[in-house]
Amino acid sequence: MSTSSTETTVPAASTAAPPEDPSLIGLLRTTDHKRIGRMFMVTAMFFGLLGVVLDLVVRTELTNETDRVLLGVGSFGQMFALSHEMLVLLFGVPFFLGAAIYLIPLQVGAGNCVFPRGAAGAFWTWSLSSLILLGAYAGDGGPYGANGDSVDLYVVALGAVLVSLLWAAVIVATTAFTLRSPGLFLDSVPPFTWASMVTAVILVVSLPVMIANLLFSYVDLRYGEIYLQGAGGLWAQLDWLYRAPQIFLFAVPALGVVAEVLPSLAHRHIRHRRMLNAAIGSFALFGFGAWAQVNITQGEQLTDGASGLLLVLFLAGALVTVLAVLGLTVGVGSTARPSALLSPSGLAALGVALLAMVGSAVAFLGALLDWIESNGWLDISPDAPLRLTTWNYSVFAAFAYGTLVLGAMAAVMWWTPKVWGREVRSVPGRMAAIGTTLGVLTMIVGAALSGILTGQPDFTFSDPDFTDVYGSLLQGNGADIYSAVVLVGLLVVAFSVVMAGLGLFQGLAVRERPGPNPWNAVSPEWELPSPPPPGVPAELPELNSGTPILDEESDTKALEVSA
Amino acid sequence: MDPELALETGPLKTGPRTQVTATALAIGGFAMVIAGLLGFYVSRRNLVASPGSNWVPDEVTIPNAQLVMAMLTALMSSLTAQWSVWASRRNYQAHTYVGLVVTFLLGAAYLNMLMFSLNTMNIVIGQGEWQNLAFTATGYLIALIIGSFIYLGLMAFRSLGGDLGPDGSAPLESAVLFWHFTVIAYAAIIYVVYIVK
Repeated sequence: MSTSSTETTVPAASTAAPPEDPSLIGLLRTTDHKRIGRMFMVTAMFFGLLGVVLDLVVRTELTNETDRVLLGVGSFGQMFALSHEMLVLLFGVPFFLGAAIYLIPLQVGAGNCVFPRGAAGAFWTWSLSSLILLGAYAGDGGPYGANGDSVDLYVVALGAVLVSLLWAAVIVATTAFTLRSPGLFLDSVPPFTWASMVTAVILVVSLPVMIANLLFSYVDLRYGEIYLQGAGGLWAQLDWLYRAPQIFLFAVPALGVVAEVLPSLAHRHIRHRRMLNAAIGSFALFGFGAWAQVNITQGEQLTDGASGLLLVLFLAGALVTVLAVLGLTVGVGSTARPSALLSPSGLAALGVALLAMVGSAVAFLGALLDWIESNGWLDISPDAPLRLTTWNYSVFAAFAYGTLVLGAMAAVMWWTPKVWGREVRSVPGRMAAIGTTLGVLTMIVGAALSGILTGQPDFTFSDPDFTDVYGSLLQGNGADIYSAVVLVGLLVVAFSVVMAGLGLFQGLAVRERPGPNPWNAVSPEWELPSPPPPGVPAELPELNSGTPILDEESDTKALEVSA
Repeated sequence: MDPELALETGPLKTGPRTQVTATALAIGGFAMVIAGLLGFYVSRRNLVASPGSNWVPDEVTIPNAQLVMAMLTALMSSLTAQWSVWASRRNYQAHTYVGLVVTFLLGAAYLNMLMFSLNTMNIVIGQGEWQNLAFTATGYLIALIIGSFIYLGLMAFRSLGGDLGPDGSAPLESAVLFWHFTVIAYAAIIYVVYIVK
């Protein structure tokens, strides 16, 4: 036995479920993957709520063509950037990494994640650097910030956020690779473990490119401002993270949740499991978007030539693979009882499936239309390529809200009995799932129509020099009405998020606990008590399948038949 | 459950290659930073430098001989590092420690040569795009090399406690894997930024 792994292993004899120390010292000292995962998820949910509020402010601003309703010119750009960062880097990615840190050891039969102190370190680094990031914005930093020191602080804080997320991603992937039960092969791990592992690996090779962006930006901002020409040029270095195809990658764990929930509701095996793994893996690969950025493409807008065609092919590949994932999972899920499908987690999973499909289709269609138009074969949209209009926001909305927010809701509704030993209340849960789906669909329609019919830039008020030009461009063409449609959709989403929170708090307040497996689910974690006791269990399950509950039932039936 | 069996359960569940796997993944991340840095460098050079113009300023003198010599020294340090892993796997303590000491000496030599070369180049940060790009890439490389010194130093210190053999050498293997990576990183960055320019 390697001593290198002693950190990850606690002798089984000393693991009699100690109570969790609720104090701050207890939080700081914890090395229990369950507690670290919960801390990640809860903190990320808090940041996510803040991100929705910030996006509400931005979208309200866009309902007026020229006048600033709430923000000044520079503040709009900062708020625009911060809302994107909060929804993706401070909410979506850390939430699902936290869920993976909580669930993967339970799903692969391990006692803890690898490097549990490292996982705790990743959480504290991420949360602290996230707060510093917010502080940098408060000091007039960030993209379009006017205070040079705060802009520098922003770059450093964003780098620290990325490093801590990468650290957590390495832990997630290594746990899935090395801590599986001896009989559990990689191709038969539960879908959420597979999706999280694939996402972690692609994160490890794509987020560092953003760190390279930040390194260059920091040196340039500190010494000479030769390349970026000030903080105004910073966002162009960073926005590829929030665009297709990179935004697809963040949705992969949500697809894992769909693949976990729907077949479990039907209480059936996923047929063609390896095909599902390949489809999820391919979707993640098509979500590698580090190449689709201004530095690599030398300023080209990815609408024409070979780079434009490459983007079209990437997005076509993503669409095909997401259809394959959803075909395999929704196909099995459709055999579930209607009452099961209409449960909060069932509705949320179906919503994620629908919105991932719509978002991929919209992204592909936009790139295809841009490419066709740039070749002069058709004149479709006014002036700007769709990629630079609010069409881009429709894709962002589909993935940030449709897969990250709704996917997180589905995960919380499904695993609340496992994580907290309670159930989300069904009425607010259902309302949240349906409301988010409808709200995001409204946002997609409003933003896409505005992009293709009015050419409304994604950045209407972000650049002070062009604000007036944009304003005159949009005068009287109805962009403000479409922006209002988007705002209405976002308000519905915000209301649904509040309902989801309400359902969760109401559920947590109920005294009676559901059984260990209230959904009759099939993954290994449901064989354990809900919630599992703190610390490393004295006895670890011997797994040879990602669906041990179904396998046992099949064996029992086979025995009965033979008897 | 039988308590004796329970004692066995924990260790069996932990993969012996955990640290090597995590290091390999981390190396993937560090390598992608280098890919990004060099991608930006080449991209900006193609965009900014017109044919016949001086992309690298005239006042910058690049000591090719020292940089190539440093690269050869780095390659030798990689060989001696691998020697220490080979010996560690076979529990040859003396060979392991001698290999590590020679590796550190060669590493210090090539880091020293790199720093000397940089000091003689007259690169003034903030005076031009090439200077800023070169400073960023080289600064990242130096940070990586120092990081690999610390990692190998810690794991070597750990192996002094007798942590050797087929399983016990995994920490040292991880650190040496990272050491090899920094040597490749050195070759890639020096080749693109200072030799091809």
